[in-house]
Amino acid sequence: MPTASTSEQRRQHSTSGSEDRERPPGTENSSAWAWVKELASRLGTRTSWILFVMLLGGVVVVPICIYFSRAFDNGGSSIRDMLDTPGFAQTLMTTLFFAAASTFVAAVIAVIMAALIMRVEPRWRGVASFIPQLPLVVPPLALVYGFIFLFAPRTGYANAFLRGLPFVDDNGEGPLNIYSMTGMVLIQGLEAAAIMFAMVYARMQEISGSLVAAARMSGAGAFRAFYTVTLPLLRPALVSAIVVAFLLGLGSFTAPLLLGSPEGIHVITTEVFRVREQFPIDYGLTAAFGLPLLVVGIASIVVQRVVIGDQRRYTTHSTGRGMHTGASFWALMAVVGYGVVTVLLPLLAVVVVAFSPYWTGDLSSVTFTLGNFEAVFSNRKVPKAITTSLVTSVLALVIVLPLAFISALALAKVVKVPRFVQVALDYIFIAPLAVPRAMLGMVVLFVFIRPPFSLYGSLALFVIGYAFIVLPFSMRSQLASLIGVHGSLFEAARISGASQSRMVLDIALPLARRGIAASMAIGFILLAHDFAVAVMVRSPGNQVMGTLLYELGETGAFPEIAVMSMLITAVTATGLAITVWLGGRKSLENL
Amino acid sequence: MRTNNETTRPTHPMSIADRNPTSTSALLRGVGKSFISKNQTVDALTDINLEIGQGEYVVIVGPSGCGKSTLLRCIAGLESPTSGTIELQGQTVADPQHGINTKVNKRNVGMVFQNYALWPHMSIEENVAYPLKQRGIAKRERQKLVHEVLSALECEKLASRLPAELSGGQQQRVALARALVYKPGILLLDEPLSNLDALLRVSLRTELLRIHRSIGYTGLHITHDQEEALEMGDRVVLMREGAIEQMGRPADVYAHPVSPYAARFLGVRNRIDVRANLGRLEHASGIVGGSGELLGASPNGSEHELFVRPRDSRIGRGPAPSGVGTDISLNGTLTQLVLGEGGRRQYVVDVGGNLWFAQHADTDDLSPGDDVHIRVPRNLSLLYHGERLVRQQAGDASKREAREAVSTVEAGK
Repeated sequence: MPTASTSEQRRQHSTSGSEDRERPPGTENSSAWAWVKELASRLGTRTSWILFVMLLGGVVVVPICIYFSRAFDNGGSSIRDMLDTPGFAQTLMTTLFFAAASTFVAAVIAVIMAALIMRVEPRWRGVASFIPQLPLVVPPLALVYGFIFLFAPRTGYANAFLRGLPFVDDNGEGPLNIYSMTGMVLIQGLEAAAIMFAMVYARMQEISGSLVAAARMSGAGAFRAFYTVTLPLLRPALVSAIVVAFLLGLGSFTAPLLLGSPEGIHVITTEVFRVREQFPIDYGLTAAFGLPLLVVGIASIVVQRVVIGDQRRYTTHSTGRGMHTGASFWALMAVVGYGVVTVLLPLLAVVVVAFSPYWTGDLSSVTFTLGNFEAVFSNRKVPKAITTSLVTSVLALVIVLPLAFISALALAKVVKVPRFVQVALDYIFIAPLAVPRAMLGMVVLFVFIRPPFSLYGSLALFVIGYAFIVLPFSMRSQLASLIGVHGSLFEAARISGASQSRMVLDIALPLARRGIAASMAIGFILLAHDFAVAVMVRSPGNQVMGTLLYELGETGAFPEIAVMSMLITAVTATGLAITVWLGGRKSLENL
Repeated sequence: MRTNNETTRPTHPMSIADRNPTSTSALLRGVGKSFISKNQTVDALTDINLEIGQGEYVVIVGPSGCGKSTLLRCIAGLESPTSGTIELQGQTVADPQHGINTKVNKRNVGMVFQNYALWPHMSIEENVAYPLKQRGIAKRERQKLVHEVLSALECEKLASRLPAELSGGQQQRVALARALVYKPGILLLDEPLSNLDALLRVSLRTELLRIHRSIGYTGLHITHDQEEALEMGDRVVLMREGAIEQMGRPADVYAHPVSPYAARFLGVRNRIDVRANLGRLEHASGIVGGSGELLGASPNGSEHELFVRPRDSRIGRGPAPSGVGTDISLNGTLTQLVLGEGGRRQYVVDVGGNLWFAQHADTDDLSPGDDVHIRVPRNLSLLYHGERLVRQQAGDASKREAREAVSTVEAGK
């Protein structure tokens, strides 16, 4: 297309404007939108996209690079410091072991759960499949404290109960101790299992149908069919899920901090936290600590991309209905039992402690009091923290969702963009995933508290940190829903006379609604979950619910900790419920 | 330019043909499209020359991958040709050499997609009104036009429903309504009947034809179904690997497929390799009786392919009687009796190793294993030498037109 001079373009634009009357009266709400359009048409589509990519890249990728390059300052002095840190090798080993062990646990749980759920009656399957994913919905802080209340060596309720059993020694302690590597591995394994299950189960449903039926009709028993047909076909999803779980394990912060640190078990993220809590913060050192994690993160993403390819190849159609497998009542019971032990019990423990004057671990003398609730609610910091949590989360979503939508349009090829723009956007949105959450917090802290931003002490740090967390997931679910729409629907709009932007507003946006709702739901969950980022960017007077809970934890006021945990869970659940109500039940399936 | 039988001009309110009846609706000159895929240049279109007159209904037919979709999308503006020019209503909309590429939404074409592409979140009324909204037409006028087109297509009752609530045939009509509501210069139909089951397809063919005749729009319809093409088109264009293989009126194309490819595609099912020898045609295990005049001037020893339609084939008991007059004949063995389409019997005959189908028989009293012969009227037999149709002695000039790859607008008759 020949490049017309600006005056000609302007003339064209103004005449077409009067002829087309593109925006129906009443929607002139966005003069900002009109300004963007005008700018875009002046610059031409290509340039606009390039600018968009540069802006986004500048805000997302550049800070990450700036922060990690600090490790190499002064000829890598920080790296030397890191290597000189006493016990560093031990810390590294611990981190790797912890990640590997929790991944293993998670994989075993996920596969068993998936297999069990396929044996549950179809009627209950929907509900049953939600159970292994519950840990995703419950804020990890609440969950960890719940397990602490259950399995703390002296005062844990479960331990007290076990000690009462005839064949268990009663020496006032144990038999189980949550403050241990085992405890850490199991808790992290549970969290990771939830995500692994989600990834594996979706794939399993796709392949289960006629393929397994064919195996069964050829004479294979249920287990054999699973082992020889389903499992091999699951391999890519399984590998993908394992990589994700391993990355999560490497970057895990909450469980190691609460369960490991008191016992002197350190992982890289807790070391970073330790350095961060000292003044002045040696950013170079933290960056150096984070380097191994970053490298592994990038490597796994690259490997995953190469081996599995990008998402566009996975618009699948169901392979037809499978046979009605003999439904097993015990399978359902097993799944429910799992849910009870892993989620219900800890939450119950939290509730019990919340209503008790002290946490004594003595099941026989449980008295109920509302005193803890009074104490918490009379604390002025609490409503402030809740509001801060909500406001910053919403702001982060408000910023991220449109950016993700625009990028999803480009990646789903709903609008035509130059190839390199697609590639760039792809990597921009995946970049935050390579960085463990704890390090993301440090990135935000480092880059945005100094000029030209100087945001120390401001809530903006939370917003930015949250935006980083939510970015990849937000884009992914919107992309998934846009890809699911047949291209002809967009082409038909263009042929009917709609300009590119009208087509996006009238057709793409409404049809992407489900994806947008899903990203909101994911966003909410991620943000309610977050502890690592918040705790890194916090400053005195700026608290979110998670950091407030952490401070309470430092004081050891367990009943109040319990109350706060319940509060966080309640707020998260409400937010999630509202999102699901807005987006429809289906929006959860898109997770 | 209308070549159908109507002599009266339609007075339908939706009538488009009132506009400038003798002008050209679309003109393609030397249109080509190639792209690079995996370090290889793929020519999706090569040197397409096509002129579509106002009110004409042209059907482009060909197997998957022949380029018909690409051609349609180039006209629509969804893809850009790499060479040649495209003009719509006298305006050049695509000319890569001079950097002209009118945007999709400015070309004033209508399009019916294979999957109808109705927007699921809008009602039928909103779907059909959408193009009018884009043109800034006021609400009252919009409603009037939408109502007009919906009644022309007998869908007014569906106005407030959602696309998901409609059947395939209804959706197709709504898609048509949406494409016609703004009276486009040309209506493009991308395999509009392919998504429907067989019965519906046949009945909707007639529907579409009727609608075209009453409204008079210019239509370019692509399909892979040769029966559909022959039934619906004023003109049929057969494509092969990106180029036009044959173009002409349905009757002409049907009677004289220009090459073995065309013959195969147009349903001429019976085929056998033959050779000219001593003034007649011979095949692997016999001679083709009465084939002397079919040969024309073909030299002795030259190789040919003989194509014949099952419906033109009649079998009789025993070897062919000599002196069959206007027919050619081949001897063979009856292998099967099957029930073909429409409930008629089809006879499957082994002729020199080739399976031939015949739809008529001298007698009902035939069973598999019998020696039979097949007779076909000579003037309905198609003989090809390489890619060329061998003309019979009585060939007339008008039949030669069908071989031209470049179209000419037929003078009104």
